[in-house]
Amino acid sequence: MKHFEYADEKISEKEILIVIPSTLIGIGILSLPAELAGYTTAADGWVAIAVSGILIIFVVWLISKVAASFPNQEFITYASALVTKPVATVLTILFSLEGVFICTYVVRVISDIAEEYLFDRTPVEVIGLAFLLTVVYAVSGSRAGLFRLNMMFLPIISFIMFLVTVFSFGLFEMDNFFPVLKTDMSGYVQGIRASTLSYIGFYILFFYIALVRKPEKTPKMAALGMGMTVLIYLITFIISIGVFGNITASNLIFPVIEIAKEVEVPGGFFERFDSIFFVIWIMAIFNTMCMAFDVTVFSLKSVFPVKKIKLIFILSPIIFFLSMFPASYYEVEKFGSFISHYGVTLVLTTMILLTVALKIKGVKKRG
Amino acid sequence: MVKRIFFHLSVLLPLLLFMTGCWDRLEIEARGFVIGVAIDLVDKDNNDPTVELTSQFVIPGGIGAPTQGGKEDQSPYMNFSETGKSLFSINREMRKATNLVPFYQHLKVIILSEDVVKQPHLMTNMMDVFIRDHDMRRNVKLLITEGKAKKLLETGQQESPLPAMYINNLMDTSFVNNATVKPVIIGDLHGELLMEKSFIVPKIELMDEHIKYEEVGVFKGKTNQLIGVLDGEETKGLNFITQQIEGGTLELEVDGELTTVEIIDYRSNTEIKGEDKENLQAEVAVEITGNIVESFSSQTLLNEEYAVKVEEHTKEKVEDLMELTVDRVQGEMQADVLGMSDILYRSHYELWKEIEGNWEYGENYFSQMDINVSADVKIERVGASDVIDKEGEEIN
Repeated sequence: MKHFEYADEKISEKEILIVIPSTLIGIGILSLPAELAGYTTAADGWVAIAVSGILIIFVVWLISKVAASFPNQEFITYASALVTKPVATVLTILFSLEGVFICTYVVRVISDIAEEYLFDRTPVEVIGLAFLLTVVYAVSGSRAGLFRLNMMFLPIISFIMFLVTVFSFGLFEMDNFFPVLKTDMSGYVQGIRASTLSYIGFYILFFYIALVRKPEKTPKMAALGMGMTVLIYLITFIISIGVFGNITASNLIFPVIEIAKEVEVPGGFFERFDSIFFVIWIMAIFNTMCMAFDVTVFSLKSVFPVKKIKLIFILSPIIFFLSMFPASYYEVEKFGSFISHYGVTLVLTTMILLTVALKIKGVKKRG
Repeated sequence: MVKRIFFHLSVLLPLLLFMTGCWDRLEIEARGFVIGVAIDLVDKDNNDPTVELTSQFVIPGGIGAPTQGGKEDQSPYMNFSETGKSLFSINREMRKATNLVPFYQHLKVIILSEDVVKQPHLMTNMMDVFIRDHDMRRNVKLLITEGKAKKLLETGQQESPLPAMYINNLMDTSFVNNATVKPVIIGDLHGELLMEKSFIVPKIELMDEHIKYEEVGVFKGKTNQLIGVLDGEETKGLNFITQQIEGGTLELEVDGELTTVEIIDYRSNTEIKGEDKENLQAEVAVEITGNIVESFSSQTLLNEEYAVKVEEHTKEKVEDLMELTVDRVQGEMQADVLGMSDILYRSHYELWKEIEGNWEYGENYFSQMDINVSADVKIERVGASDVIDKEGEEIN
């Protein structure tokens, strides 16, 4: 067997545009509409998504700006230059921890969903293991290959999202969108917090921008990718409210899956739309997990001089056992909330730290 | 080299063992496709009622195409009843008695006996499993019936041999009859139960071999129990107010002769005025476009004066029907199935938040509310022919 070798492990800024929605769209979007509907009145949750979206777009732009100031340098290199080596090392390790947590959470949730909706009798552990092994296989290969995989899957995922949206128009009830803007301030604050927490994963930019050949345009591309994500979140929220109404949507655990179950291709020609939806959605979640796993390997490799494959073999069992650790749905939820808080705090702290340091020290050429 | 191949084979061949199948494999023959469910009350011990669940399984062999001969004596369905307290455990009980594994993803209708829904809260408890279980789809239709619900799952029909399918199709095709309402599905019910609103569920009745689909049951919010039934006329009134059905017919007497008007289109609009919670006023305005489809009259229908007369009679009739319904739900039932609370929620949100708790209970603002109805009718066509029978002329 011959391996296909890419010329080099470099990517273009277009791939940065793709990698953001690929990483962010996964599990959060399935349940976010329910959480938001709980905090807000009627369809007001869109305000929360938009406000937090604009905030995060700005953050993403800033992160890329900092990272792009040091073209072709890895995180540990430019962070050391800005905030000293020990701090940079600690930050890298904290980020890898976040990566491990995300992988753990993803494996667990996808197994739970698959068991709930698809495989009644297959144990969660078996589903989780199968999924993890697939991801391990993908991550063991070429990094540039992963980016190309993202590029291939994203249009398919967008297409299925588009189909769900179009077919759900028949189930829309305009009444569900009224009254407009009646949520109180605390409702909006809660909503903004919830949607901000659901956008974890964009920290990969700190690391991946080093791979971009010519990073001048990356801040713009990254912001655009983030904008795409926010748009997809908005559409999902609006169709959830349109189909179910506020109260029912807030009561469902995964409103998006329920929509997929409910839509039918007109003419009774295809009743079980959810089966296709699941196949495609697992691709989306696969992308999320691949990027999270890969960035962890990538960042750890910059701290510990170990071979990539060895790192993967050390991390995989840890991820698997951690993911099977929570005993119930409630514990999984608590874990998810912890990851979000941890991730957002870490990203924001790092961002502020680096931006301030950059302002003070300025970019040292060839530093 | 050979050694290497052996090594690879010894690793890969055992792996094949793990790829032989699906953990959740279940042969299609072993699945029992449940298409209809009926729930009856066995014992109404107030705290802990016992119910009987009847599931209708499809037997594919019995349906077979007639040209293939088929097995004539084989019934295309099998009903299976079991009693118990929780539907989920009843369902598990069933597995002991049949060799089929009940499969609910193709469930079409749920029929509840009136005895069940008259009990407070029992309806909600029965519906829980249908909403919660991931196997259940949200577009299962819900019905109530007088007497035994499981009797309805035994009505064989020539044109559709599966009773549950027969009922399902009946509900889908009777949308042009305004004495019925749009089928109520589990998904809608979920929202209504959560909002603690009053709601309606259509009622069917067994008439000898046939099924009559008319009348609707009114359920009061919070306790979710059946508090009354709107008859055919009242249902028509309800339809005009809440705009559920696309068409329907009205029978009127014009100059002592029977005339039937078919409603081809109507728009209903309700507005609530008055910010004073003690003195709410609702204006229900209906715009109707209709055709004369049947007339026993010997006058020419092409005469515009006649059309105006029919329009006036229709207007009166429609207003009467709506008033009838409004009186019943405001007076005797005190249950807001007219959608007034939705309008308040959408257009008078602050006011609604204030009176929410005293809407149907307590101060009962719903019953105090003034509801005025008005109709505007336009007759468009009179059919293909003018006068079918000119009084006496043919004989002379």
